[in-house]
Amino acid sequence: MTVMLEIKNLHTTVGGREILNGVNLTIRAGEVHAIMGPNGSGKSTLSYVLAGRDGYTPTQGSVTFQGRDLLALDPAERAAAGIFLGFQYPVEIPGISTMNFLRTALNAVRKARGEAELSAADFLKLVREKAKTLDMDPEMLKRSVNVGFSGGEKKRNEMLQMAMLQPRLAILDETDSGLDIDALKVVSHGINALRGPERSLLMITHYQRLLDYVVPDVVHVLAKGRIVKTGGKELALELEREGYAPYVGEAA
Amino acid sequence: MSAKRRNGFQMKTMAASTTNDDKLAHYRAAFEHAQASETLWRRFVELGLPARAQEAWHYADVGAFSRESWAMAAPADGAAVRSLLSELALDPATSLVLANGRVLDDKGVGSAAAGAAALHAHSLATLNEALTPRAAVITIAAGETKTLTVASLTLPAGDGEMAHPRIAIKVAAGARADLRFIFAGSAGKRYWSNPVVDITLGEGAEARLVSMAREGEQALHTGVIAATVERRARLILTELILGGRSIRRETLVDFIGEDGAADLAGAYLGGGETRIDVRSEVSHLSPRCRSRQLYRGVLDDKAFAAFQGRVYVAPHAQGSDAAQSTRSLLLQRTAEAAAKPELEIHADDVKCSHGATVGELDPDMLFYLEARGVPPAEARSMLVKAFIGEVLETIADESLRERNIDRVGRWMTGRGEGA
Ligand SMILES: Nc1ncnc2c1ncn2[C@@H]1O[C@H](COP(=O)(O)OP(=O)(O)OP(=O)(O)O)[C@@H](O)[C@H]1O
Ligand SMILES: [Mg+2]
Repeated sequence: MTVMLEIKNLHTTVGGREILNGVNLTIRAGEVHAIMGPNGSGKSTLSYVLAGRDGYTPTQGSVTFQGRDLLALDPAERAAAGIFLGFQYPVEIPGISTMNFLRTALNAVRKARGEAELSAADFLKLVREKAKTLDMDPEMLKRSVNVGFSGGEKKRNEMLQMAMLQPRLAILDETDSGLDIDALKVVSHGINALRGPERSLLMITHYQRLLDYVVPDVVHVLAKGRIVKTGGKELALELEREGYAPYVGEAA
Repeated sequence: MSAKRRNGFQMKTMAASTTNDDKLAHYRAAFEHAQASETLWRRFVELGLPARAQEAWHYADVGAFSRESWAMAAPADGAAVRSLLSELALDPATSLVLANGRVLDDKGVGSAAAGAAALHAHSLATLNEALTPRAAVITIAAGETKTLTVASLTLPAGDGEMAHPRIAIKVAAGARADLRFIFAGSAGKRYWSNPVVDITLGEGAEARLVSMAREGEQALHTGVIAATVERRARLILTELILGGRSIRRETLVDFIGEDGAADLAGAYLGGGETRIDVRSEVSHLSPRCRSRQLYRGVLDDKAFAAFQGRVYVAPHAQGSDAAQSTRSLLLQRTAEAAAKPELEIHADDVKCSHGATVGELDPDMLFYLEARGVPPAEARSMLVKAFIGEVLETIADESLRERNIDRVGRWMTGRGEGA
């Protein structure tokens, strides 16, 4: 299997503190990886580094995405290359309708990928179809991006964006938190729909439950800024029983 | 009635008038040339040129009125008028066009002394009245509805020329006006445009005004809209300011009857070394009138903008309801914005609120857009349009609204920012 993402010895300092200190991670095409770990261990930080957020430039190490140096690209170029970050806390943008946001994003990405922009009619058809699979009311798309959306609605909106952009590597930061039981099934279904031999997933989660629906190939434990344990899907069950105590000590 | 409450226009300038004499000398010639009345000249001298010491002109580029020996612009060249009209996508057959202050094709010309009381106490409006005795006159009869675009173009032959376009509008009782104003001019010339729009709304009338000022990048603009609002009449004004070197837009509203309403919204964008000075003065002179003011500024480079919003509530104007909100967005730290609300309230049963903020583009929003593939410049442009959206949403006509949103987009593109 070809390598989708390769992270080597990644170090990152945020606000003067080293948050990631030597992350190594290889994800192959078609694989689903899960990262679990205590609060504050650096999971979201890792996702921001991969998406290219300002202030999250690595101090050491390398990230290769489909053979390219990911760190040389700006966030929009990364999105065009196929990186998608599902935000732990999706951002509210007053004054920009969700529909306009989706259309601008999709067309920007298509343009960067050398594809033609979608016509208004084709776009509308596509967005309606994707919204339906996520059980989203199309009326919601007229509202400003995430403004006044409930926690669960925001997460569904993230999944809608992912479904529209069809990324190669989706990094989903706690997409399951804040979802009710039915919504979790809908969202999991949306994630599974993206799976395929050409795509990979990196799911950050605190709960085993999501992993019942989207079964991972590999599970990692991130503690104090590095990956301290890697295993199969049974590792998630073990963590659920035992907690992080054994790993937190080890990394110190 | 107006002299006292208009905070200093008269009192302070009287004291300064001796030093103003020299500065006024060359205006004397223009008055004589225009055969303006001695009464107007005396009023102009008494008011004096605007000075920084006057509250109302505190942020204005007051030196501009005497820095140059402004001469009246001759009639504009016909080809230049046609080319600017086509650039603005305006049809001269259906628009009312003023070029260098003169009404083209003699459409609706008339003499028009200042109607709005506020204009009698305004020195630049007095100058306008004296130098352009023939105004464009628009009358909308009782119960009628009229939609019209008015373009005021300044196309001087050389630098240092001025024009004083004058537009008088009477919206009779129960009539409806839907008027669009465009103020534009020569790209490279140093000219001064000093337009006055004097509008009276009769009982129960409604006027929707959309004004777009996109003067040349060397231009000085000092425009006034003065509205006299009778009982139960409603004024809805949307202003867009996006061009000029030094630009002042002033809105003066007098509620002279009960239950009137005024919704004022304005968006101003400045880059380079543009100086923008937006002022409003809403006078609640009758009970139960309602005013809303919503202003948004976007400033880049070394641009400076000030917003001064004044609300006056007369002693007997009980039940007045006035709200004002102004926000500015600085695209660079070198840009600057000032906001100064002024409330003068003499009645006790009154609702009055104001708020002002200055901020920058939100980095979280930018990152969110970029993480979805929107290139940085386009992301910034989207956020600027969203910021101004609230103002442009007040334009009822959808195609006019879209055109103005596009103008903001093009303004951003002109600054090297996205589509
Ligand atoms: N701007 C900042 N300045 C200083 N410290 C920061 C900054 N941003 C994040 N941190 C710290 O970095 C550490 C890692 O944060 P991160 O959000 O990556 O954790 P996480 O693993 O995603 O936690 P959670 O499970 O709670 O989401 C935390 O201790 C956090 O306080
Ligand atoms: Mg986190």
